[in-house]
Amino acid sequence: MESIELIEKLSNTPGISGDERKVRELLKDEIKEYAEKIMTDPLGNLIALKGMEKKGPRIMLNAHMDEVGLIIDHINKDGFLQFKKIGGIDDRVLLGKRVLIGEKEIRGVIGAKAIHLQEVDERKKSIKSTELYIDIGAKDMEEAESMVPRGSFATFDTKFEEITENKFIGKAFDDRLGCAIIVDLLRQNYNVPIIALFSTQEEIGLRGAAVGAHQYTPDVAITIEGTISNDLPEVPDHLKCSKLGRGPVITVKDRGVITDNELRGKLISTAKQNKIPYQFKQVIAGGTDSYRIQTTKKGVKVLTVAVPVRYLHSPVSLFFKDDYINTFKLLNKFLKKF
Amino acid sequence: MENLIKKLVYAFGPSSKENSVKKIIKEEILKEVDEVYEDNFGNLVGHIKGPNESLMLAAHMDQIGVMVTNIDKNGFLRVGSIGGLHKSLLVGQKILFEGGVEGFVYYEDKESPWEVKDQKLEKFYVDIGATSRTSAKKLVQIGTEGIYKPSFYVNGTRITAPALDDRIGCAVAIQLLKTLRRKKVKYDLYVVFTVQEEIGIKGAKVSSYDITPDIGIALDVTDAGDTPESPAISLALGKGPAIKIMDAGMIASKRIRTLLIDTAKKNNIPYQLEVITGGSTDAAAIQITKTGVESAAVSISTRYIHTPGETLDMTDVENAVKLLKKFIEK
Amino acid sequence: MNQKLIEELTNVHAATSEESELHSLITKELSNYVDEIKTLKNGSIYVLKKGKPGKYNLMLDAHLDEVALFVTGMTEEGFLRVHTKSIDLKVLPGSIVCVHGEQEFKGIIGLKPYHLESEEETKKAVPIDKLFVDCGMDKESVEKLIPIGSTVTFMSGFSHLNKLISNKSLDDRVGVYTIIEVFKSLKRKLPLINIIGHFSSQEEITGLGAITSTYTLKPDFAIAIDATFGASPNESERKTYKMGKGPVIFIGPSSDRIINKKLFAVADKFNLTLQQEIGILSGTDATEIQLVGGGIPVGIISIPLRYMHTPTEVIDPTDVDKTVNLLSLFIEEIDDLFLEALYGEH
Repeated sequence: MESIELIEKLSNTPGISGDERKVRELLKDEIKEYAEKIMTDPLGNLIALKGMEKKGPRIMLNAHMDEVGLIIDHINKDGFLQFKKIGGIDDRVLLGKRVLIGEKEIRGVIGAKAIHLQEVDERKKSIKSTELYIDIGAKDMEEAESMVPRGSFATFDTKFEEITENKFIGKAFDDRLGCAIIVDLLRQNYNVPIIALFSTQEEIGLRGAAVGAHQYTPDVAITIEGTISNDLPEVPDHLKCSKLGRGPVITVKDRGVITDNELRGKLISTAKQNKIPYQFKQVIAGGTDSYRIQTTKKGVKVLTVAVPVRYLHSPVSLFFKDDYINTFKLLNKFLKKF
Repeated sequence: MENLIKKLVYAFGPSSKENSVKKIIKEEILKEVDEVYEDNFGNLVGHIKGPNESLMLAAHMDQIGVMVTNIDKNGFLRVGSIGGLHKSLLVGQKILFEGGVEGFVYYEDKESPWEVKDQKLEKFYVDIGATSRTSAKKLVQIGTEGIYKPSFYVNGTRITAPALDDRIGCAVAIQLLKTLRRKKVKYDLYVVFTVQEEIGIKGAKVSSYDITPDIGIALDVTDAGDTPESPAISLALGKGPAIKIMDAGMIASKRIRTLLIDTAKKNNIPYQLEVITGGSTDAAAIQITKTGVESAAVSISTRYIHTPGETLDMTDVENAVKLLKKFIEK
Repeated sequence: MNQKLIEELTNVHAATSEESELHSLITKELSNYVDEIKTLKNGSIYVLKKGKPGKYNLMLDAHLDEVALFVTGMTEEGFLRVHTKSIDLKVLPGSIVCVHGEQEFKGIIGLKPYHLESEEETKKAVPIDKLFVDCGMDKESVEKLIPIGSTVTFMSGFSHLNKLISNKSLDDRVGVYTIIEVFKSLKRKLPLINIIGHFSSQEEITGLGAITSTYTLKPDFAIAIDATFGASPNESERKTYKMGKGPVIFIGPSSDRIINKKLFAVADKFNLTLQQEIGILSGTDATEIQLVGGGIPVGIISIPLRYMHTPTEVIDPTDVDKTVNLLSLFIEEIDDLFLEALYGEH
C-alpha cells in the first residue's frame, strides 16, 4: 500500500531536531503535485498551501519532521565519541545499540561493557548517557575527527520492517506517521483552505511551531502525532495512556493544552457516525506543537489526534497499520465536514 | 461586594470551561462599559473608550481543577490535574463535576489505608458512588472536568472559599467598573476577563496580542506570610493590596508600579510591596507582547492558594478597588 | 584590549531591571560611530549604523544586566532578607555587596562566628533563608531607605591576574564591550547591510529585552555575544572551553548553519582560532530571538569565562580582542552569496 511505502521512506530517513533537511526534501518531493505553494521559513519549517482561495475556516495540518537522537560533542584521545541527547531519551535504551552518524552516515556502536567484567551491583545500575561512548572503529582522535566532525548528529540505525502481518517496527514513528498522514490528506480535496505545517525542532521545545503558524495563521489546527502507548504487561489499566489496535488517539488534555472542546465533540461524532474506532489519551503527559500554535497571534482552535505507538523515543518503535488507516480515515471524514 | 464574590465562587469554571463565570460577569458589567464582546479565544472584554494610552486590566475567570482520565469497571474514576493542584492536599477533598455529580478523593495503598505515603496522582481515585463503569458513564466521561466543591464562609472581614484565585480579581474588576465615573476615565480602558490562565496564561497572551495595550495590569491573588511558621514572605492579610515588584515570571514595570505606589500614598490607601519567588500572573504574558507592554499587577494577599480554603481580607479587596479607581480616573 | 573601558563597564552596577545605569556610558562611547542611538521602553538601548545598499539588518546582541539578589523583606533587627535565581549561594557568605535602595548602601553578608559553629554546620551550604544582608541600619532606617524589591549586586573589584582580568559582571559586559569595539572598528567602513547593536535588558530573568526589542527592530538575522564556561580545575574538560584559544562558536539546533558556515569560512581565510560549543539550546538571548515573529536565523559567539555568576569572574583579554576581530571581519565579508544562502535552504 502506498502509505506504507512512504512511511518506510520517512522512517528510514535521518532527521534529528536541528537538521531535518533530508526529511524535508523527501516530503517536498511527495507533496509537490498536490500543493499549490511550498515554502521554507527561517526555522526550516516546511509549509504547503492548498486551496487558499476557498471560503471557510483555514485549517492547518501539523506534524513534526524531527526525531530524537544524539549529537556528538566530544572525541576522546583514543577516537571514541561522546554525545548529548537531543530530545527525551531514557538512558537505558542506549546501551548496545547501532547508530548512523553525520552526513555520510558513518556506522557506530554504543559499546557496552562485557558482563564478565562487571561487579554484581554494577549489573543492577543503569549508566548515564554522559558516560557512554560511540565506537566508530577509529584508531585515535585524529582519525575519528576526520570521519565524524564534532557537532554531527547520530540516529538509531533501525530499518523499517513488517514483523507480522500489518504490524511494523522502525524508528521515528513519532512523528513520521503524522507527516505521512498529512501527505495522504493533501492528496484529497476539501472545501476549505488547507495549510500544512511540517515543523522542525519539536522534540527540543516545540521550537519550529513557535514561529511556523506566524505567516499563515489558521483558524483551526490539527496536530497529528505518534503518541504514547503504554499497554505493556503489569501496567495498571489507567496508566496505559493508549492501546495499539484501538484506533486514533484523541487528546483532551496534555501537559500543554486542553484541546478545543467544541471541535473535539465534532471529531468524536464523526468517528461514531462513520464507525471508526477511536480512543482517548488517558494519561496527561507530553506536549505537542499544538501548545505553540494555540496561542499564536489572536489564538487558534486546536485538536491533537495521534496514531498509538509503543516504545516511543527509543531505537525501535511499533505500530499497527489499522491504527494508521483509521487515523487517516477519521481526519479525512472530519475535514470533509467543513 | 460579598454577594458578588459568593456568586462568582459558586460558578463552575475550570480552565477551558469558563462559560458559567462569563455569563455572570457579562450581566454585571453590561451597563458599566461602552461595549462588551468575546474575543476569538473566549476572553470576555469590557471596553470604555477613552483618550491617551490604552490600559488593559486582566483578571482570570478560570480556576484549577481535575479532569477524568479513566473510569474503571467498578465505577471508580482516575483524574489528572488542571493547573497547579497541590497533590499532597487532594486526598479527602470533595470534587464537584460538570453536571452536578460529586465525588470524594481517596487513594490506593494496601499497606497504609489511613495515611497517604505515596503522593503520586496515579495512586488517587475518585468515588462518585457509582456501582459500575456503565452507571458511572451516565454521569461523567473521559475529559469531564471537576473543581473543589464550592463553599463560602465569612468571619468579620475574612472570607474563606475555594477559587478566590481569581474570582476575587474578577470581583475587583467588576466593582471597579461599577464605581468608575466613565467621563473621568483617563485611559482607553479594556477590562479583560481571561480564560485558561491556570494552564499557561493563554487567554492573556492572545488578548494582549489582539488589543496591544500600552499598559497592562493584572488583578490576581498573591501569597501571605502571616501564618504559623510560614516561609519568609513580607505579605500579610489586611495590610493593603499588594503592588507587584517581581514574581517568578517577571519584574513589574518600574514606571507603572511607581505610579501605583504614588497613587496609594497620595490617597492614603494602605499597600504592600510584593516580591514572591514562585508563581506568576497574566501580566507576565502581557509584558512580552509584540514590542513590549509596560506591565504591573495589583494582587490580594491570600492564604492557602489553590486549596479549598483560600482566605483573604475584604479590606484589601476594597482598597484594591479604591487604588485602581484613583489610578484610572483624572 | 581597551582596559579602561572594560573596567568602566564592569564597575557599573546594573542589575536586571536597572540597565539604564549603562545607557549614558554606551551613548558616550558610540555617538561618533553610529547613525542612531535610541533607548526602548523595555530598558534596552540600541544603536544603528547604516550600510549600503542596506537592504538587510544584522543585529548584534549583548545583555546589559548582571546577576543580582532582590530584597524580599527584613528582620526585626533591620537585616535584609534576599532572594536570587542565578547566583550560587555558596559565594555569598563573607562578601560585601551593594544595596540599591533610595541610594547606594554597602552591606555585608556574614556568618555566625567560626568559634560558635559546629563542625557539622560548616559542611553545609547556608540556605537562602539563613543569609542576611547587614547594612548596619536599624529597622526604621531600612523601612525608609531600602524598599522591598531593591536590587543587591556584588561589589566590584577590578583586578589584573597576570595577563588575565577579573571583576564582577564580565558576563556580559565582555559582550557589550565587543559590540562597542566592533562599531569603532567599522568607523571608516561601509558594510553591505545595516548593523544594529542591541544592548538588551533582563536576559538573566525573562529575556524581556531580547523578545520585545527583536519584535520592534525586526532584524533579518542576529548574533548574540555572551560568555561561556572557561576551563578551570573544578570543571570537566568536556563542559568548558580553553582560555586564550579564541571565541567559542555555538553549534546545535538553536544556531543557524549558514551563519556558522560563514563564521568558520572567515576564520579560515584570516587564520583565526575558534573553539566549538556543541549543545542544544544556548543559554543566551539568541534562544529567545530565534523564535520572534516568523523566526530569525541566529548565531552565538561566546567568550570563555571562569567562575560565572560570582564576584570574581575571569576572562582572557586576547579572547575578547579575537572576538572583536572575528565579528568585524565577518561583517566586512558579508556578500550577496551569503545573504542568498541565508534565505534559501536551511
